[in-house]
Amino acid sequence: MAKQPRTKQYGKSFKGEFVDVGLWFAFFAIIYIILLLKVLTYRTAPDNWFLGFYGIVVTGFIISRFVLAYFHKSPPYDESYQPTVTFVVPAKNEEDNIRETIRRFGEVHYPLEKIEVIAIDDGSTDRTYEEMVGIQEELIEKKGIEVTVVKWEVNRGKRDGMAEGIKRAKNDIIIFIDSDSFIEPDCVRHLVKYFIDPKVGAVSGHTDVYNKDVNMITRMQAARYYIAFTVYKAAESIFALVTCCPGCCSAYRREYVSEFVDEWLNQQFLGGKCTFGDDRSLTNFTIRKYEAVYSPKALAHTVVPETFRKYVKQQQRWKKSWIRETFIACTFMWRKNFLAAVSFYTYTALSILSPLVFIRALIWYPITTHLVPYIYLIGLFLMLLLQGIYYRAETGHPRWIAAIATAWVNSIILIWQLPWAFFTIRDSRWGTR
Amino acid sequence: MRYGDFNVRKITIVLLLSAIVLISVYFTSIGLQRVLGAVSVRALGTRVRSTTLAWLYQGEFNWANFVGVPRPSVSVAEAGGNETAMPVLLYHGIVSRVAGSEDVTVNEFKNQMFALKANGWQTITFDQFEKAMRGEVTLPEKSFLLTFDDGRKDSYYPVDPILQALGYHAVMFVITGHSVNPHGDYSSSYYLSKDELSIVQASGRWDLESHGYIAHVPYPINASGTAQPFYANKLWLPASQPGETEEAYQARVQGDLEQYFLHKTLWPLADGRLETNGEFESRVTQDLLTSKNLLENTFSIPVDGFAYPFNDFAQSAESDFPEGKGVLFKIVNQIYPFSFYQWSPAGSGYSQNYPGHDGQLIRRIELNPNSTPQSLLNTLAGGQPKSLPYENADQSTAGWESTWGDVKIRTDGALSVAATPQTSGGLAILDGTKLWDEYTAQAVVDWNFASNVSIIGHFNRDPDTVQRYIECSFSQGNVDLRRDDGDAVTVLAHGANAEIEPRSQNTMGISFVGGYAECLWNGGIVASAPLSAGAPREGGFGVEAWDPSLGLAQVTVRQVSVQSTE
Repeated sequence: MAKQPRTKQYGKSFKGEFVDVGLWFAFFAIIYIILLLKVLTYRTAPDNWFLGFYGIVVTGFIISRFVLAYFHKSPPYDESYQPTVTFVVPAKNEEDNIRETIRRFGEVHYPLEKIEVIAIDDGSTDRTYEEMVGIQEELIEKKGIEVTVVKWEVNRGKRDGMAEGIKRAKNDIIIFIDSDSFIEPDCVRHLVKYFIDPKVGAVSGHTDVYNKDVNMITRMQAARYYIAFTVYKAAESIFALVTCCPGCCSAYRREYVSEFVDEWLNQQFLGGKCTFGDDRSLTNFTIRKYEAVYSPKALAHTVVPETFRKYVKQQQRWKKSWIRETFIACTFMWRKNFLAAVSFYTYTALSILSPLVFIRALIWYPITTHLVPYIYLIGLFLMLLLQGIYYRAETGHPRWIAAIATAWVNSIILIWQLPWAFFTIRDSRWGTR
Repeated sequence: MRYGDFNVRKITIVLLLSAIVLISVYFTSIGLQRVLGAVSVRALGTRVRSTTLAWLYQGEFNWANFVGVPRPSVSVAEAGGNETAMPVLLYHGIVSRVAGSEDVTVNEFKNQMFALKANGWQTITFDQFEKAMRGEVTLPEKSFLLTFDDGRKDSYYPVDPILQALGYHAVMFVITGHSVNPHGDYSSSYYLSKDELSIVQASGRWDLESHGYIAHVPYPINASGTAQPFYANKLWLPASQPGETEEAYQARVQGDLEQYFLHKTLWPLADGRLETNGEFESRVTQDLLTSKNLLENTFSIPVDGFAYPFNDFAQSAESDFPEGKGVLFKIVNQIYPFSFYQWSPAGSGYSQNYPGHDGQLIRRIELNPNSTPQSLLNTLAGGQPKSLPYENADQSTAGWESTWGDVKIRTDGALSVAATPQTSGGLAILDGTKLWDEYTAQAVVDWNFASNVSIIGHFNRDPDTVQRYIECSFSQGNVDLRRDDGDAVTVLAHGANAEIEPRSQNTMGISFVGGYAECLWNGGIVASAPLSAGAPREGGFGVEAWDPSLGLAQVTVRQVSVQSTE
């Protein structure tokens, strides 16, 4: 299917290839079953036209993402175009990871003289600053890379850190790397190669989960990340309208972001200063005038929450910023590419409706009829199984069933988050991270 | 689209795969359709959904059995059984939320069917029912006929998976004017269409029978337009207007349903009158025949059953043509071997049907939103024929039915027979006793307040509310042995006995031996007489309390004991 990076840490043998064929067969078999069920139950299954229509649109939308992702193209790296690059790493209390994060900037397959690093210690109370200084000396001595460490005694927030990096950066391209993310040596090449096109303002790298095999929560997130990047972001990227270039590994053209950095820094929503969803917000500012794409070969790894509690809190922040930025994007997306706009508004509508359909199917329906909503649960299961098999076929991850089972349970638990985020959107605290 | 790689190879692959998937979907649906023998793709959808649900219901049922979820249960006496009586259940809509007095929720219906299955009850087909009622076959005990009236969509779609899961069979009484009308369905969002009925019929789980053609709508029966049931009344023929053609007049009489009447010349121009007997007969005959022929010809099936629309066969006082009942029965019985009405829990006597003793008119137990699995099991078990000797110290599951007044089971398991504020007394009949003929029945009764306490035997009741029985009516110092034919009461014997007095507890009884009836007071015969000609010679047992003052009579029945005297 989609030409995507393979994380081949599980190895492939002849038998493995054989399994691959079987998996792809299973993938299309599930699409076949889903479509067959839709055809067979078209007139009788839906209790009303709304649910029937909703089901068809959801199915169509998800399948169309896979098709679009398959057509996504990644241009080759052109050695004649090598713009200068500034890494910006805002960090707070990240003493365990920050050294490795920055160390990897010296390992990249890119002219080191074209690289600059800006690390911002945003009021850490641990040894983050000392670690930064340590690696700063190492990079300067061994690699000759210019490293600036900014120390803030009082925490100001990630958005201020990123803005500081934008303002201090001297180079053409700014690459934001989260303090708990690690890039692969080829990452820079595959990020910068898109900027040869003057319309491109932002490029999202491909981020895998670093700690994926810690427990079920991280395995599930690994599957979710993989699908989100290789299917959904790739589908958006066809139209050069990626709606979120995540903070863990994304590149921006300094010239363009400098135009709106102050506006972005002081962004207000519902009378409050926006304190999270900085990455989605920055992308949103960018795609108003420029383009944003996804680079499947620009690999990075990020550390994800390992407990359910932390995971839920993180999701809650993301959902809030999703609501805010989607609301803003709704005001200009219609002017963009027609198919991209249709996809965007469809996705928005489905996301808003899904909790309602969920409540109707799993609460209202059982309460009023005392029946188990088998049909809804089977549909949900098949859709997740489709994604699970795609994940297994593409990555060879052996624990995909567990990952998808967790995703299934989680989608039931987490579906509440969107409405909850909606009602608490003005609460801008981060919660424990 | 600079970041889309729409090369020939990729497009070919996507088109090819899409084609393979879509063609597979197409041919699978066609193929499945052929294999399953369904009528259309829609039928297939119904099948897939229904089969999936059935499978899950079956799992639910088996799982509940496996983990031992407590289910209501009632034991049924082994002797007798369906060799001699057949219960018929009636449902209408099976809905997600109860909207009408006839509706039962899907969950409640499922629970009721699960409870029946778990207690060993099994459905029969209409054909088996006919043969059993004609005495041609003997069905296993705990057999019953499951029926649904009106041909509503909601009495098929939620029901069919449950039937499939339990291996049950059902009968649908179809309003043919709504569902298979040659002029088009006029309520297709509510009633099953002809195509849907083909699917219903093809499933093999359903029999289609008749619920009339266009008789399920009330029609005007007087000049002011009062609307009443079609079969139970003469219709009002309004005055024709000057210059009105016969055709226009027909259309006006037939009202909104004009296009659905198959016969356009039922009535001549009139000057404001009721139909004649002949017109009534002709209209009713045509409707009944049309309905039967439509079903038989459309689905190539035999149709032998008919359910009275509105449960109305002119039995009520509201009919403008009460004598039409006899005419109607005659016509119906000529066209349909079996016709069905509603035995409802109040006022109808026996709940089940006795092959060889009952005719073409079949009683049905109608379920309502208040029915529970336990109440259904109680009704079925209580209505099963009781064999002699019969003893019962707990009246709660005995099968007592009220035909008059306030009859209820008390928390201690005793039976209370009392007057309502509007009646001077109450009468309770023990269901399942219809076939008793020669017997001595005695009851231990608390004579709490009543001028007369009657022990009733040889109780019979027609569907049109006429009750016939023999009774021993006890009052202070006296007993009357009487024959009550509904319209006339004859005293067969009178006994005076000082021992008969309203005291706390007595054993009262009635006995039938060799053409004689006897009244028993605490075991001793206090009156006796030969049964006169024409008196009922079989029938069950009941208790009545009566007092001249309204709303006061009340007795309590604690124990029943019946022996055969053959």
